[in-house]
Amino acid sequence: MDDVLTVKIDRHGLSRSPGAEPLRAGDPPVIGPYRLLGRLGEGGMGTVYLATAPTGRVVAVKVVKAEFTQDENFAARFHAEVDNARRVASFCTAQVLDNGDAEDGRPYMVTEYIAGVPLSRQIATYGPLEPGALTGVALGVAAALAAIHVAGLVHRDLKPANVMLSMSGPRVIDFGIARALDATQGFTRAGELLGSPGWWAPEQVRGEEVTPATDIFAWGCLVAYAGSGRRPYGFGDAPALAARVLNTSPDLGSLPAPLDELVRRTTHLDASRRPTAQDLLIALVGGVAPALSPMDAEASAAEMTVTEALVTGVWAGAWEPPPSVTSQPDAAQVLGPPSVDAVTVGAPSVPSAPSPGVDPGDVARRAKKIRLLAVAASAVIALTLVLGGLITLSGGDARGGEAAAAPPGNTAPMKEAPVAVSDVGRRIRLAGSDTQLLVPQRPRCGLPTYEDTASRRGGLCLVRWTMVNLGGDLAPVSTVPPRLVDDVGDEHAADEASTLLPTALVPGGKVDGILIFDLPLRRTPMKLVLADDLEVRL
Amino acid sequence: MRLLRTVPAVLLLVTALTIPGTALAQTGCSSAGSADFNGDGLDDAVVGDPFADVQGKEGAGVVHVLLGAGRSGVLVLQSPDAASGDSFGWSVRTAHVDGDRCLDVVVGAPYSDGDGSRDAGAAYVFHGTPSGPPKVTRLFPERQPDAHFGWSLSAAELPSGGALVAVGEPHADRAGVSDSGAVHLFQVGDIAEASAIITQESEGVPGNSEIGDMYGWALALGHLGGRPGELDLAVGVPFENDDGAGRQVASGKADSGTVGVVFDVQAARGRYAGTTLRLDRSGPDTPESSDDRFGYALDYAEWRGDGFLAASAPLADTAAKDSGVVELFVRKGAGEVSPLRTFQSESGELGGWSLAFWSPQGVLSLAIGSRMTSATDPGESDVLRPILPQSPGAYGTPAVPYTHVGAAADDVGGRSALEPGAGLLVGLPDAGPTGSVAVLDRGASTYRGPGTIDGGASADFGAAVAG
Repeated sequence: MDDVLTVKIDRHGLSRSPGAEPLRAGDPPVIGPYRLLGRLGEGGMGTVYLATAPTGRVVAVKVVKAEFTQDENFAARFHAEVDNARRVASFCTAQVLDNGDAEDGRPYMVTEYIAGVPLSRQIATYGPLEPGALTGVALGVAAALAAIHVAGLVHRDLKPANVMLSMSGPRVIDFGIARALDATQGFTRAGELLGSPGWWAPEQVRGEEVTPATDIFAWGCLVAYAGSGRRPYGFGDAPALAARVLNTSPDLGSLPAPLDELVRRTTHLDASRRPTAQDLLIALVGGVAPALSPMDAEASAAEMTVTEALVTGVWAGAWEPPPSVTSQPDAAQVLGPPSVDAVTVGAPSVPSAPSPGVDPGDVARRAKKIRLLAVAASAVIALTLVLGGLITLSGGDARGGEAAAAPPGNTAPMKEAPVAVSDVGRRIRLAGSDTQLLVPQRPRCGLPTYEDTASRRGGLCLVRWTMVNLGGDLAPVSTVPPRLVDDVGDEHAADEASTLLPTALVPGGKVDGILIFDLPLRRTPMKLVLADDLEVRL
Repeated sequence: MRLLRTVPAVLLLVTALTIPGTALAQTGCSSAGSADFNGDGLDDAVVGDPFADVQGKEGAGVVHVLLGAGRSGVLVLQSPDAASGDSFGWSVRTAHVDGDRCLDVVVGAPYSDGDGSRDAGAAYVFHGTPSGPPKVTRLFPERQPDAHFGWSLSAAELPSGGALVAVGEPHADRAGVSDSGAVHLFQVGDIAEASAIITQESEGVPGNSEIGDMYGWALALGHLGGRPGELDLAVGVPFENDDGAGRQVASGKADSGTVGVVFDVQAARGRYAGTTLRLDRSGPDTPESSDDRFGYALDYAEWRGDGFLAASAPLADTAAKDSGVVELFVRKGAGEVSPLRTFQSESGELGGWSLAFWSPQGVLSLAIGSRMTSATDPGESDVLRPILPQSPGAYGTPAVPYTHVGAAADDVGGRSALEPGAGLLVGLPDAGPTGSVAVLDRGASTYRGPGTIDGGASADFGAAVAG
């Protein structure tokens, strides 16, 4: 019974207290009042040590690299950000306990030490998570992001190594200093991009403003990785990964519903089209298809009522210990997976996810966020019970690995019909005609070659089309040479190897074709122009 | 007479059948519901996805069987002959064709190539089964390029056992006449037997095969005035011109359309009798004009001992140009089908691109689908307007349209729609990137999406529905 939600834990890693590598020659014995015990990790930003506080409590101390401190305003920014980070509710993160400056002037931050296994090591050692545990991790990380975002912060470096599978559930660590670092040494100025290659969002690579939506993108990549065991952008050096992030869709593998849909939405290349962490929580806990614009005040009251009712439902049974979980549909099954393009009908889509906390004048919104956070908290407490339970069970039982009942495909009921904001998958009737045009799938982009065509400008984008005449007459099709409009408004002509639209179609006739466009790096297709009055939003 | 081979199907089992609700499936078909593909006692919904990719074949098409109308997972059916561009799932209908109680599914693939004939078309019967790959029976005609066999389907059980399956081939060139159209009949049981090909040149069938008539565009089998117990066939001919008797080309009222009824279609064995239904004969309020396309969509229902036929003219001019009309006919004894009521919109577009009878609150009602959205007016179109009789026998006025915003319906219906308490299945192929279906039940809508396709993706889920 317990197999359904089993997370296999490296018991040696867990039991090896304190679970850190020995200190190295150059490491200081103390930082501030904290006595260092060992090294927990090292990254581009600094080193994390295991240490004991004067009170005897075991903590994690993160010290940034000396090079960052050359910027004289850095320390002030760092401490300001850490002060912000201390506001973040700690139920699914590592609580920030202290901050200060080391003897050599490097600023440091002290957090709660989370004993557990990083998600990255778990996957590398044991392979992808099973659906139940995967949903648990997805929910826990979404809750952590909700808490971080409500506090007005952006994690900026969410990746599997920064998610700890602990006895008390998944915890997101290592947030709160990236923003200070980013302001010092952004991608465009120093050529070094903060965050971690392979887990970047497109806007991060482009050097654009990093918003909570950036973390959401990383959530999608992380969940896809946890569910498939494959890195969504594969391996490679930073420039190669950056190019992939800009030009290709991540490989999301095969995930159980509703995670498949949620992950697809969260990895949308357009940051404004991604759901928020609160949307994810609602979708994962309650089955309410998230509105794309959660800040829409109109959406609030009913949604909250539903959410709270559903969270109550969670308490009432859906997250009871494994026996009942196995005998009834996985909670994931009752969720409403929103369409990737679902929007609230009539609600204008917000251009980008607003940075929470920058709008203090709106008391009502603030209150709503806090209430949502409470929802998130209760969800996470419920989750924590489950995960904590299973790890314990797993400790005494080497099994685990039998597949859980797969949630049914994409068939969870939805309250609203999905609405297309692109024309992909939608039949477009040509004006004054019974001829219909369909672009059945999203464009495939970033290809170096396709058949005999090679990209000379960056990557090939392939746009498939199908045209069918459902009328009784020969239908003339008046077209212009096909053009693809990219995200910066540039137009691209179709390659000669493209299948052009027919000039006329007999009754009942159907033609399938493919248009090939050569786009520069970092461009995404937005619109296909086939005639003066025939445009296809991609 | 030709015996058609029965072959094992390729079935993609998308959803593990270990989840509750399908556990009963192991017990066979004996406890199957009335529209139950896998015999678990729950009625299933069948949804075509004709432009889906599957196993790397672009546009081959699949059919999704929503078990328990989506509550118990999804089976994805693909053609045993799947090839790119087949449009398998363009049309779907259901019937009990074999001896078990599991529902069987008939699927059209009108753009399937065969024997070197491009877009000749094919149709298949998938035999419902509690577990394992379903058996598939191929329905193939003599292959003719661009004939689009499988464009339309109708299926009905025969009193002698098995079912009669009618397959439309509207772009067939018959008697040397381009796109004159044909209907193929198959008697299907454990095996299938091609029993007749009907055109407007068949003896006793009203009308003539003229260029571009597209006989067989829409089909409905039912009891419409032939001998009791025998099946009659209504055939939509929406591109027929009203040009008087004999064979003409491009004269009279172009594409005004007709519905031809062939009585005792199976028993007649080539010597038919029939009648023609036209818009101008249906009532004083419904003037016929060019491009009405009467016969574009058809549906048949039996209700309290009467046989009803609904036929649409989606481009008839009533409240506004091209606003559409739906005619309701009733069987009036031997050899007679009478107009009963005309439905037209008070304002705006009625539609009629798809039709389905159903019975919300135990009254016979008609769901009328709107057309697909246009490039210039995307997004906002009605899905259906159930028309509720005011009292039994009165078949009253059109009710307030039941409108769905933001989606288009291409097909509505469902075999179980006339069952007490059953919902209506509405295809919304343009909803979202993959399409969706709505199950309407007592005023509430539940939307369902497609199953996961092995090596492919949905594109037009909901283009055809049955249940």
